[in-house]
Amino acid sequence: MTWKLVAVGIVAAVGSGILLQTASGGVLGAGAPELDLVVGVIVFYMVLSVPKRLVEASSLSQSREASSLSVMASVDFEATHSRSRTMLMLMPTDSDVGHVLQRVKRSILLGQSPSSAVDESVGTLASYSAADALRKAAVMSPDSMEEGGEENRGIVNALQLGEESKLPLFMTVCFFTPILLLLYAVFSRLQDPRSLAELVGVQLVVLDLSFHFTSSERRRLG
Amino acid sequence: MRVLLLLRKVLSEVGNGRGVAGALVAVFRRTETGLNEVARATLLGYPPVESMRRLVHDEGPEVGMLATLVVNGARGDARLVGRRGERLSLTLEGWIKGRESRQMEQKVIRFRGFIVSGVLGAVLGMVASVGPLVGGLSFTTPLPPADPFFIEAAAAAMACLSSAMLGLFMSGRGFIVNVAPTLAVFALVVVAVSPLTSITPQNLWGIK
Repeated sequence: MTWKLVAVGIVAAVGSGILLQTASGGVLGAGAPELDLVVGVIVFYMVLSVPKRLVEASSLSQSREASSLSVMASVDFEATHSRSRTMLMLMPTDSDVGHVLQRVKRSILLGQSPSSAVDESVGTLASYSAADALRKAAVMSPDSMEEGGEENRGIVNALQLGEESKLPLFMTVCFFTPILLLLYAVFSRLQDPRSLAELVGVQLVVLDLSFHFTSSERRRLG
Repeated sequence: MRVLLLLRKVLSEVGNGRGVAGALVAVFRRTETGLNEVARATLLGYPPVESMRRLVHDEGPEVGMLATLVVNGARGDARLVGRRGERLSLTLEGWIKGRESRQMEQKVIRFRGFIVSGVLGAVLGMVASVGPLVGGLSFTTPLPPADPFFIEAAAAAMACLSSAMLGLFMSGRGFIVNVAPTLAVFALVVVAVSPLTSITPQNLWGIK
């Protein structure tokens, strides 16, 4: 799986480098190969980090789910006094937690004990508090099932800090890229529309890449 | 936030021993249009899962979570749901308050974005107007005067692109609002500085 991802990353990086070379049409002169290389490396990293970003994106909603899950589990346990029934009654709203719980329910219905069914399935959850809520529902007494949303607070704080750091970076890129490219056009005496359009294309590529890098926290926070 | 407080009230009533349907009617009866549909649907005999469908799905994740808990209370131990749910509602209230304060910060950031877009338009307008003149200065051989039209068009396109991306980053779909001040300031600066572009560059070699 890792090698497939690396191969896709290399193909995407080489493709993006060639595409940028074609789009810029050699307007950057001697600086073009370096820019192609930088764009290729960035695209390679972006492809390689897709799984990590997917896991990070789902951890926020899963950690939110943990709070209601633990309350519902404790209430259902008080009502049924059966761990198996408690697990079968849980209905999470998050899709990832829902898939894990589906597997747990299937195992319980096939005769497995709740604790071993949960232990087998929670490994795929990105949020430790969601996994913990399910484990406690399967093993411990209802009084200990209290989840105050610490993980969620931690994730949100980390995302906000990341956003605060990246906002000035993106503002700087947005502000200085067109100025530098325009100065380049002026002092290189580029006057034909094609060369200027190619510079606008280069700006679009630079801004798009930096937008992708800096907006991940904003997208996750919503 | 208001809906969350109403649901907390419902949970409080349920925790004190009132039935879920009775609590829903008592709390939502005197609310504004939309929310009082919950009370009306309950009085018409719909179960909580139907009468609270809108709250579960359309009022945000926190309200949805609490509404789901109320719905679950109707089929389990309602009093226990009320007691535990009140504690959960405090956690959810903290999340909503955090989101509201973030929305306030976003307004300030959006305003900063407008300022940066305006300044960008001014700087690019200045560079596009004065640039061909400065680029034409030469100490050795006089260069032919450059036509500023294409440079100005490219500068306008670059300014639009940058401010649009900035707007997309800061206000999502409302990015067009960032492009408008950029273009306005750009046009203003180009018009104001255009008399400078009529100066013919001199051969600096001959100046003593």
